Amino acid sequence: MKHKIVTFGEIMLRLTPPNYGIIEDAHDFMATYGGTEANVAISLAQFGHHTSFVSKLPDNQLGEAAVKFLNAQKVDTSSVVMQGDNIGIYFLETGFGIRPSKVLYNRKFSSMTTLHADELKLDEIFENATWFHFSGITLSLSNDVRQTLKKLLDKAKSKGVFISFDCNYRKTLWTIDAAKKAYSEIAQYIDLFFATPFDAHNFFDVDEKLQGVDALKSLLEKTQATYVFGYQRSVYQANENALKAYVVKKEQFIETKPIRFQIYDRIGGGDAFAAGIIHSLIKTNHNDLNKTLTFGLATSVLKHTLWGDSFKLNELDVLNFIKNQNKEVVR
Amino acid sequence: MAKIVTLGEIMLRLSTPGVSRFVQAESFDVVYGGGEANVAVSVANYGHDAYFVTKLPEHEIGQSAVNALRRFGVDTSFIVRGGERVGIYYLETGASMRPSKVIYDRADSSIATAKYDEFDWEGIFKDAKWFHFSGITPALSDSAAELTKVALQQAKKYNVTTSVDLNYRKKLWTPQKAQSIMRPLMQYVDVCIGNEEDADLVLGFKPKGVDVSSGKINIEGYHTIFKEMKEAFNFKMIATSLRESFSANHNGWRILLYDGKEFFESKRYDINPIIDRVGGGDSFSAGLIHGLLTRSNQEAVEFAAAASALKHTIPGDFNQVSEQEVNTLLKGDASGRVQR
Repeated sequence: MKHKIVTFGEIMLRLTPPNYGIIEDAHDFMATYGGTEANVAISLAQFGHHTSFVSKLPDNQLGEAAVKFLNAQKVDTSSVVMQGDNIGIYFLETGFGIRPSKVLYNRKFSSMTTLHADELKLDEIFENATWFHFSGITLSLSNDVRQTLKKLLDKAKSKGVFISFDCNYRKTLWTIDAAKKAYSEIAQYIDLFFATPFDAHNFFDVDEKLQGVDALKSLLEKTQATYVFGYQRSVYQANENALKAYVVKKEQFIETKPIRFQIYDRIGGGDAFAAGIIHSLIKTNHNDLNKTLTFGLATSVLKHTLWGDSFKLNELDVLNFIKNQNKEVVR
Repeated sequence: MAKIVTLGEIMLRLSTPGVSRFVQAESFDVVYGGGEANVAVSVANYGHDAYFVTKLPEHEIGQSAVNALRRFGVDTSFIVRGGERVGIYYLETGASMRPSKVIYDRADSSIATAKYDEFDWEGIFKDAKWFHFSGITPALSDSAAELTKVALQQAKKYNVTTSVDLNYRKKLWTPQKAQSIMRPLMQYVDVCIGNEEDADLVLGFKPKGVDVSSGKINIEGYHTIFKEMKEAFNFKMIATSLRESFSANHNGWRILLYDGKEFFESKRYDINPIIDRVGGGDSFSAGLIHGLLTRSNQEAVEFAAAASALKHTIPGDFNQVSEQEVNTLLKGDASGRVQR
């Protein structure tokens, strides 16, 4: 059961001061690589899928280092274009207790922002592909990237590829108005939204009077999509949160119980959720939404216990966690 | 001690640990540096009132750059805050026959997009004795070139001595572009620092009948070149470091100065092993400025040579040595014995 899953976005150098330190005190940064669609690709590769990441990185040793990082996680990098000068960077200050984490981007002029569709082999990218995933962050990168994405979406649709979109609005990257314009242009391509009522109201013209599930149902009615998945986060402290997951499909609404947990690194929690949902939908042939929701939530919760952007455990680890929530040592 | 002003860009430097390659790095060592900032820190270490002028974003990385300067006693009160980016450069330190590598990510940084009317020129140059910049600053952008020109004109208005380190950077501009910007700036420059290669690339200056590219340092050749450069650009003084590269961590090092009448040559230092050569040229500029302000010309080149030789032994961009430590080396103690 090998499905080729394609994700499209930017992978950045992630620089983190060690020991919960702040940037101003840092004498060194721990370095890893991450970006929402790359994180999803890595997680899906751990679940045994053939995943291909489509992106552009500078033609220098830093770009090469990012490619090697993806290769090590079993992600297919044959569709990564190597050209340009700069790799996007994000600085992450890891929060502790009442102090929240902070992200500072340096990505405005990265290679990825200059990607043109004619640099990509569209037919090759979607050969044998069954799923295409991207996020609102990719839409924010540049006009060139939005044009390229449009070509990818057309090609994916023409080949009958299932398309998922994580709204993932980042207020430090663009305004709600700019995002709304871009989101509305791609809305009709989407089969599965990862979205919240906030997204429905702000980006898809859902009536503010419709709250919660009703807002999400309205989003489905306005588009061709089959599903809206999402989760609600309760923050007790920077390193103690709870998550509960939900799905809306036509009139159907399912919600899990919340899981409360300690956090080691919360970046990529949403991406792990998306990967868990995608994997489980494929595995259950879209026939068991309860199971899918439980699996997605468990993947996300487990990600919060791992350092770095991406989920690097495998399917059995997730199933064991679901089975064995009393946290005994697995033998 | 004197008020000394430098203008330029301070960047976040991300270097791989030890001598590992970029693709191996699991972490990066963090320091802040840049040609003119390095000069400011170095002269602050000799006790001068050093002022660094630049523009930096208000965010945490911008603040960290300001803090790095303040830590070493540089006055940052004329730094304008705003814009979005701090320039970044990545450094992979070479070893033996493998050279060091630098990757820049500095386009559209705050200083590259700064306008000259954002700065308080009167405050910057009032009572100043010396202004220093390098060929890197006007290379950043057209607005930075304009900014540099205005700074030089203001410096002259306040009777400040000016120096330039020609410092050609091929990743920032072409020789044609460099010459079109730099040649008109030279009328404001008193002390020119650079070798014949920089003079060729940055100023379009070709010495007649002298070949110094053969690998062996030809002091007589430099005498001819400096005389011709003085004639062409009307500099008061010209200086250069003479680096002999035996390997990435073994260099010969000395200084040559021409004051328009006489030549002054320093003692030669054999630097082996080199710990970090980035900032070596800046430490020479700083040593020379301090020397020319406080000593005779011969003593100035000796001080500059010793100070910059010491820099090669210190990790990071900044030269963290005091005047006393340089004096100790000048007195001939190059043994590296523990001093108690």
